[in-house]
Amino acid sequence: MRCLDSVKAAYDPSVELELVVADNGSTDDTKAVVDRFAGEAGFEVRYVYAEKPGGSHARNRGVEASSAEMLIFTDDDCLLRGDYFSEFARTVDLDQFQYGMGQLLRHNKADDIRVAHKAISNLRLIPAHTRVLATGLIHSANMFCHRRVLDRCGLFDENMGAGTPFPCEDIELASRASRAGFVGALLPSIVVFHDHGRRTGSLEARKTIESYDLGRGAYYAKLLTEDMHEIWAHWAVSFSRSNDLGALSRELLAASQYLALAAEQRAPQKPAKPGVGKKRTGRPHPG
Amino acid sequence: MKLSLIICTRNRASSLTPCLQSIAKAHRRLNVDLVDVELIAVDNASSDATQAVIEAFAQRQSFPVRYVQAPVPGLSRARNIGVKASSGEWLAFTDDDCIVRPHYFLRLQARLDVRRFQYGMASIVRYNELDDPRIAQCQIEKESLIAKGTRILPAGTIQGANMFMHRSVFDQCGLFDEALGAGTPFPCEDIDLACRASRSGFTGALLPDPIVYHDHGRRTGSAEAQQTLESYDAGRGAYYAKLLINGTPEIWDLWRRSFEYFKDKKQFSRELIAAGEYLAQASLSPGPNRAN
Repeated sequence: MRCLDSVKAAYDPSVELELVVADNGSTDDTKAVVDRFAGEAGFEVRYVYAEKPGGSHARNRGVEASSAEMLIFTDDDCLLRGDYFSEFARTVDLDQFQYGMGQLLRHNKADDIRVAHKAISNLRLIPAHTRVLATGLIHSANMFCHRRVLDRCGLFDENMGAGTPFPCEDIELASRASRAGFVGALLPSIVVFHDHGRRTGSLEARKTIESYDLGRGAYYAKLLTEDMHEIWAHWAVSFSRSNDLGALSRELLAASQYLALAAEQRAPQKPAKPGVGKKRTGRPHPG
Repeated sequence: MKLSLIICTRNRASSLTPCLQSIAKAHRRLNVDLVDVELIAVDNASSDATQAVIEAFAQRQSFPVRYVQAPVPGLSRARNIGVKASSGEWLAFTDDDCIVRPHYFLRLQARLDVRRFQYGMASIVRYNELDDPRIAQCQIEKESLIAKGTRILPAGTIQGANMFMHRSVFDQCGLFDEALGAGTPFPCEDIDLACRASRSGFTGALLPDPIVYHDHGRRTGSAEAQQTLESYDAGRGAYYAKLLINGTPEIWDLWRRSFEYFKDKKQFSRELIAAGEYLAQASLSPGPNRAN
């Protein structure tokens, strides 16, 4: 509920706002909460129910239900800063950039700063056609994207993201955007506070950080399947710097899992059905 | 020359005899003036009649046959116990499902030359035509050497079913890595040791004989054959991962080429999984054999 309240508090009537809430199979009173909120919001609120578990799947259904040209994404444990939409309207510049993210700061100082945190001091552009975007560059907890980016590049990869082992659906989409020729931007003035609850030093924080290695591995693997063979050199350099065996181990495991998954989806191991007839061409049989 | 043949066995009492008999037969062929042979039979925690079979065999032989126990399961552990129990200057290895040709000791005696090479393997041929030829089979047409200092030996270059090492290799490079080998997920303890030998400056040899027949029983098309082949991918992954963390960044390049080459991404995926699993273990403990 606080997330929704922050959206309402940040609402700027000069911005035409539509809020899409994608409910990923909730079994509690989420719908009732959203309906109540919609009644008092002052702007358009759409509720979409996505039964199949998976953050990317839900987000994609949200995209399909949305109608605006500019799409902003955040998470249900996030709070928009009061000036979010007015700052967004002021700084967005489609001629200069078409996707990106803003600052993602801890709501609670006790939370681990290595978890889903991004401080941006100055506006920075990500050049078009950047082949490999470093993981961590773009977070879906405060991400924006013009609709034409999604039209050209596709939606979030539903094999990645919350509910899968690979939290990298955001950087992966951004990577596709960049390779398609779109420019990205890191904007300091659009701020979201993240109340993720992963306390510094906690087991949850450590697990979350380890999951980033899994995301990185899957992201690299997907790039490899798209013939980005320079990933090996990129990987070599980053390992030689970190020398972190645990991280590399997780990256390799996730990469191999993702490769196996991708191979399976390309050529599913279904048994052939007996007696399948020949394809009709529509031409009459001779004789 | 003093040669120790080390065989490790676990719960194969009923089929161990052909292996042992082939060794006895090969021994009858050799010239005892030229070579002294001892057989070290390592019993890797068998619960069947293995001990009785070996001891009965030992009693009938005219050459030393030592029965040694390796109480903790694991091929590398067993082999290492065998190495430590042996006294030969050359150590030969084969498996308990192998049958050595009658010329085995004669050819070893004729070919082994520590001045030219200090480790290597000779041909392995499947014993049964129905067995999968992709499993532990390696026919070497003519002798070739592996230059000392070669940084990466391709997986499969040296196979434990017909392998030999001069004792100086163990003295300098250590024993078989007990985190690898049958009984672990990573069947690459042989190539791992050979690669360490190479990087320490030893020269390797691939010899056409002596020939060992491998009666591994993995019939072509069987589930066991498929499992064994998949385990080779795992061995390869762990072997390359271990090299990677021991100062061999060229492995990234090797993976790049393998990935482009492998049409079957599932096979490559198995290799990477094993690499990841091996590294996960390594990240928890440095491990005994991180030499070179």
